[in-house]
Amino acid sequence: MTPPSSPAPPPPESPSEPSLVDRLGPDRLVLVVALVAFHGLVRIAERYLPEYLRAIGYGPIVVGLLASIGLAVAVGVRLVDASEPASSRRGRHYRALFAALLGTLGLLAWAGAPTLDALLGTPLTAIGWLLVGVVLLGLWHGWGPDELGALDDGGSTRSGSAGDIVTTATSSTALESSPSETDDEHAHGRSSGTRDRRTRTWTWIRTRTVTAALGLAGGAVLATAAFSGAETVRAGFALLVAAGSAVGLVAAVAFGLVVTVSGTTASSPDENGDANGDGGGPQPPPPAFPALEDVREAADTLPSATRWTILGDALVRLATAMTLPFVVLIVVEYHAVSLSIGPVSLPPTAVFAPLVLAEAVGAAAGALAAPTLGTRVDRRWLLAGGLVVPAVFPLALVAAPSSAAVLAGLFAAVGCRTALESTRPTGGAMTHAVAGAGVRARTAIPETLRTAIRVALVPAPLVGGVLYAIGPVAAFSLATTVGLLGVRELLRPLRDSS
Amino acid sequence: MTGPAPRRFDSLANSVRAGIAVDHRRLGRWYLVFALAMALWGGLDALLLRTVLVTPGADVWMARTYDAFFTTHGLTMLFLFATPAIWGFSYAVVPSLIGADQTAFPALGTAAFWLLPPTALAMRAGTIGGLLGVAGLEPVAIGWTMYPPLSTQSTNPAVDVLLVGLFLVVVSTVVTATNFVVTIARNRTVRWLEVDTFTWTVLTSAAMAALSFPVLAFTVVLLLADRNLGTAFFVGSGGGPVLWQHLFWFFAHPEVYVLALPPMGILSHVLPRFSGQRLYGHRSAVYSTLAIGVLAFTVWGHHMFTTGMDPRVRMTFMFVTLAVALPSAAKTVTWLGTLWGGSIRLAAPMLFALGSIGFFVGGGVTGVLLAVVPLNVVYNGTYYVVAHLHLMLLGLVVFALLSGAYYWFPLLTGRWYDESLARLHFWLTVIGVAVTIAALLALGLAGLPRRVSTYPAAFAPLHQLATVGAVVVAVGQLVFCLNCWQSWRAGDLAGRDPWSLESAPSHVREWR
Repeated sequence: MTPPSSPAPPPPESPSEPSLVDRLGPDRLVLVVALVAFHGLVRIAERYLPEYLRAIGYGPIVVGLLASIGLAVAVGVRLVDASEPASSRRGRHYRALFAALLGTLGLLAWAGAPTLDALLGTPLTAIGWLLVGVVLLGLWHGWGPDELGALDDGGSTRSGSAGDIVTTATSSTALESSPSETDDEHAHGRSSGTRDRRTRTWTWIRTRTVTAALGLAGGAVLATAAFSGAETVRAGFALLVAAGSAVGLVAAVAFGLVVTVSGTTASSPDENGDANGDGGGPQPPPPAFPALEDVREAADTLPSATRWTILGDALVRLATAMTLPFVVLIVVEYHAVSLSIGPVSLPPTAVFAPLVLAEAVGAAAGALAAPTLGTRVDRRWLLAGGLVVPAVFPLALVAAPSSAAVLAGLFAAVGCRTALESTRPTGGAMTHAVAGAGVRARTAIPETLRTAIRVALVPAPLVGGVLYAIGPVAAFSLATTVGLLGVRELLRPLRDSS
Repeated sequence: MTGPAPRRFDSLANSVRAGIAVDHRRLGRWYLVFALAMALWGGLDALLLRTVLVTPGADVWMARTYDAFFTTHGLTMLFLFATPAIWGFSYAVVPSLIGADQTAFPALGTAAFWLLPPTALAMRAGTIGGLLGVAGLEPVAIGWTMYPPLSTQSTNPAVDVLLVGLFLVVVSTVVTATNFVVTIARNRTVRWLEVDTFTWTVLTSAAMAALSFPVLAFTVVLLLADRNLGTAFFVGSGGGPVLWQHLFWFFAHPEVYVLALPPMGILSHVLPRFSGQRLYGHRSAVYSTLAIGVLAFTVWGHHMFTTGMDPRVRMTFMFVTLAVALPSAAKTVTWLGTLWGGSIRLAAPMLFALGSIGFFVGGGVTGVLLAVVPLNVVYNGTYYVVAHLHLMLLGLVVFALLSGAYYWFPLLTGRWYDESLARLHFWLTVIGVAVTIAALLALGLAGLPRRVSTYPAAFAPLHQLATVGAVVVAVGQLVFCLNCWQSWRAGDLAGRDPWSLESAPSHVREWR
């Protein structure tokens, strides 16, 4: 059985296929648009949450704590999900539908956190309701985007099908992405597939990244309007999450209709074998909470080069996890940069949204360039070079002049790294897709190790929050140091092989 | 005059002729397209005012902006969407249902339609002027009920333009209503006993409109005089603001039934066709329609229980208001009896009809409670009334109109709509409306005052929930528009008997 976190491999393309709209049908098209928009709005709301927390009186340590709990929920959902998977594809669909509703409620819980106790008479306090929101949105991340990938009449292997696009649209960014298959290809950079297959893979990555960027860009535009139109951060955030909740409810309704009425009656991959077509080899065991000994043993079994690559990638992830929740605070409070375009004047809170828009544009641009680069440049160099950007980003952000244009350039640059997500050894699916079942079965990274990395990242935002409370510059400088250490590890196999 | 000029003149004359003497079904389509456009405009007002209410303070837009949205939403939906939509369906099918080739006054009917676009511009002149920066014109922010002294004291000239627009609405509506009354009475080729329930409801509504709308015209003229000629009909001892309320609600409550009866007729028309049975209790449906038509003119005082009315008068209004529940319940029994044991087809018209009945029951129950004086005194000024009103006008009326829209779509366009989009439209609308109204009911039961843009912060989550529901409803209507647009242009051809009713036990005259 394919692990639930594994996105479908890139399917073969057929030039004679009908257009996407014709294949999907109007109701599924609405569903896809709603899901893309919902996930984009959830992501932009999460990016703004720290500023909202500041507005209602909480400091960076609480910000870090909530972000860490969010990561813990994501890890927990994956562990539970892997140990007790849904019995059928239909079951997974209903669970994903349920997750969309939970995500909707989670956003509403965030917006109402300061006043829900007064309305309902509950004793949770604002932080309790914020936590409820974090948990509910964690369930959306765990059950929604990944499981929606199977939403298709014919399994999940057709190019451009609803499932592919939904999976594409809801693919997650660095902290959200799910570790998937990898092999020693990462370490040694040797392609085991044909060049055509590699091109198709990059094209598939391009599609999913661009679609995800579209969702994030749409959310950023709406956030710009919300925070520039409202007089307070609380009002702007309420407008943003109200829009997100509405779109989430639309997505849930459309999803329920497509699942229950239009019907996804085709045979389930769970029931008729692995629809991804790579189920012939031995399957990895379901992840469990890793013991330290198991982790050590798993790491020892890997070749040194693979170990260095994984460690390097994990360190870059650690740097990102330490700082990502506080980026909005740096922009709004540290730089406090305003922006005037003609008659429109954006306060610092609203300026952050166009910066995220620049990040989305960067992600799309990176994705468009990725197929060319991916087929011409050694992937090891591409990975190491690409991850320099997120490693340097924290220090660059605090060191940059308080100029909207400079900040937009930084955000666009860091957005480009999204195109590499699928190739990263601790989170990508590309190796699985390129190498196929045989290679994966022989040299896959043990699930124990990937789970251990996910668990190790959980406290990172909290640590980042403590450091940020001491000093933003110190926190972001340390993150860059960690990130550059990671890049050094990524370069070690290259240095040794040359 | 040389060659080309007469041709241009002929062309112009032909265009004018084509614009005046139109087929009743085409006129119905015009009305429906106009109503849909106005619904989108009024719906946008609703979304904007719900946006204001996402936050407890006036920190998105100013309170006056909320007041303007609130005013134009109510006026647009009542006079420019719901009433024209009802006339649209009536023109589209009533002549066929009664065996008439054409309405009694086709040219007058068409002229009444062409009054509506300038009327819409006049009624929304304040909004348009405000957007375009026209000096002196500001969005009208006096509430859709236009109570004095706010309406008499406002110096905004857009209020006068609005009142002129309302006068034009009256002219258009009275002409149209008279056209239907005369058409059904004189052009009918079927016997009275064979007249279907939808036609009965249109007849009753048209008669009510012909009687009640002139009162609005009279009231509007008095208000214009107060504002411009120095009269004092609605100030001081000349009658005061309460006189306005008496006159306004003597018009406006029958107007509610003018809007409700034809949609009820649509339900009675659609349900048998998707239940495989005749309408249960056809006569009781007709009698209840007539009873509602009469009682509607006697209950206006229940809108004014809190104005210091004599307690004995209040009790009288309470009892007659409660009496309306009887024919309303009779209608519900008719519909449920039609469904009972039937062979149900859950196509889009039936889904919307069932949704409409459900919301009507909710609206009826909340309405009965509002009719009781002690409860009304407590809840009259709260969101409870907003919830009740929208259960009736959005839940009953709009759902029934949408049921009719899907049922007669093949008749009006010759093509099929997309069923999957129609189902998506239904579920988005029914869930969105349910969420919104549940939140509004909760706000009302908690005692939150309506008609103001600010409120205590503790109510913010419920307002946010209501806004989420409203946005979902709006998305549903965009899906509907998309479906209409695509299906009208390129939907599958519908054929002569799209619903396979040729052998059905119910009337199918409009399809012949």
